Amino acid sequence: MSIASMDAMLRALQGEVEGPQMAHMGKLSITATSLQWTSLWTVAGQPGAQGGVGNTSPGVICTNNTPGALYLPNWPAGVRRWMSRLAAENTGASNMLMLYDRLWHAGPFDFQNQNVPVNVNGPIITRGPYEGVELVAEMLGAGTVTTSRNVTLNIEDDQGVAQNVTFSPPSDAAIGRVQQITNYPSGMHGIRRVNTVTSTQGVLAGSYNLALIRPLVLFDGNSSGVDKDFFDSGGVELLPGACLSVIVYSGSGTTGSGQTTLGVQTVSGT
Amino acid sequence: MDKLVAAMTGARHARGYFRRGTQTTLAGIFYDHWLTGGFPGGGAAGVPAGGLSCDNTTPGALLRGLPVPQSGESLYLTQFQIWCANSGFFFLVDRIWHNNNLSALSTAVQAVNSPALPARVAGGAGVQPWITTWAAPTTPAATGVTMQYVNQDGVAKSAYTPPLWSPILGRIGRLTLADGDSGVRSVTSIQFDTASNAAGNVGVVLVKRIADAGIYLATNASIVRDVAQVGMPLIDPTSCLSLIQWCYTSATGDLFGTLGATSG
Repeated sequence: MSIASMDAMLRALQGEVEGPQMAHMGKLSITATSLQWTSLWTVAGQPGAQGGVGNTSPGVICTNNTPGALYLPNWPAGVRRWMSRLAAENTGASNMLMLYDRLWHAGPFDFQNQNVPVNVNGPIITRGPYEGVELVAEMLGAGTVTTSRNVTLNIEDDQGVAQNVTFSPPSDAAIGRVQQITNYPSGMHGIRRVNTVTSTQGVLAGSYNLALIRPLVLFDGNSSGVDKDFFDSGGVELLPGACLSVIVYSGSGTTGSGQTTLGVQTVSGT
Repeated sequence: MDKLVAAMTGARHARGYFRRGTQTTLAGIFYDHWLTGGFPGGGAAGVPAGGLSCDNTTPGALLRGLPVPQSGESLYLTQFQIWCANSGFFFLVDRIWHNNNLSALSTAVQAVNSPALPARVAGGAGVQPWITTWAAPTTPAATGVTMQYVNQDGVAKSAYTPPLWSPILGRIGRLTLADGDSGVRSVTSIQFDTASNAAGNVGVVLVKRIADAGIYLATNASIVRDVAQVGMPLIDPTSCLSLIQWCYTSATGDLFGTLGATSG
């Protein structure tokens, strides 16, 4: 189950097992905050923008067929695929982009649901190891907030241990803003399911999705563009059914997500 | 090259992702990201008496699931990438051991007595001693450090590090070795020549550098070391991967990175 040699890699690029596949993304720019994340899942373009998941319990296991995912055909059982090239351009001056595999999502969750746990009872993710899986909250829009508040999530970590993690929704909670767990408990390397969600303050109208994601590749976002091959991306395998999307981190001094154009080429082996 | 491709697409290949939040510091200072929060979770400040031998399962290690090589194989680092909102120089290290409860108030000789090194760094060549801060006194003072240690050849030595480090939370100082030495088997004691106003809590850290990457005079930029650029250093599957940053500005900057490790 590998590509056995450099010659085989070249033959794979030529489509010996299955032809190379390309996944494309083109997204508009939206207003973003410096040193914060923006989810292109919610941004218009190709694929089209997505909003609330429409399912808070148990949420949805995401696949390449989930609306919002980059188009990626299925491949036969027994075939494996690796990212052989990524080419991208982002019109932001100093952004960083992350290609990720979206494993599960749920929402919309209401910020005003004060101190009432939502029993998500999400399933255990089904693609790949649990280590390296991040939990993010994807804002779907809200008003301005002046009171600090937290959302507490009871989750099952990568070792199967139930723990609480928290995030503080941003004060503007603009559409697309991604809030990550700032401080994972010491020793936590990933999250495999979400059990419950509880908002401790209910002063903000608005809602958010939760998503479990596996970051795959990081790359610079600027108008000079970026090209990454198999080796400098570290040998990224795309698992069958991968739900690919992009999150943008706006660098210091940047106030937009930038228009994003992205192409991911994969090769297959057996 | 054939074997490399086969290994990177084989069963014993792992990739890791990490991010760390920005921390206030000072230009021209080493910063220890052991306690910095992010993903995965940061390390714990509590250290058992006698110190803690670190491995890939120690909370704070960047990647726990390192592939275990089959018989006759070794594990190599095959990719290292850092993106940072500020400029800096980054060491990827195997954190081997650390202790705590040394006093920044004392100018007396303080025993360290680090234990025998684990098998993955047996002999001590390339093992570097550093000094770090777990809790800062309210008025930390820059201090020189005299260190008694046993070098890579098993010879007891002494070396003095000029006052380049202060016991401020997160700051870590590289301790000097005597001429001709390339590593330590153990640290016997340290002695500060300038006292802070209170004990605080400082400790000795032993690390072995694996790879490095510099983001020079730039912000919001990344550096990628692919398999050739990183040089495929050997790593042990029990390595405790961690980051030390040489800061060019007054904050570390939000940083993100990926790692690849391949057995073959």
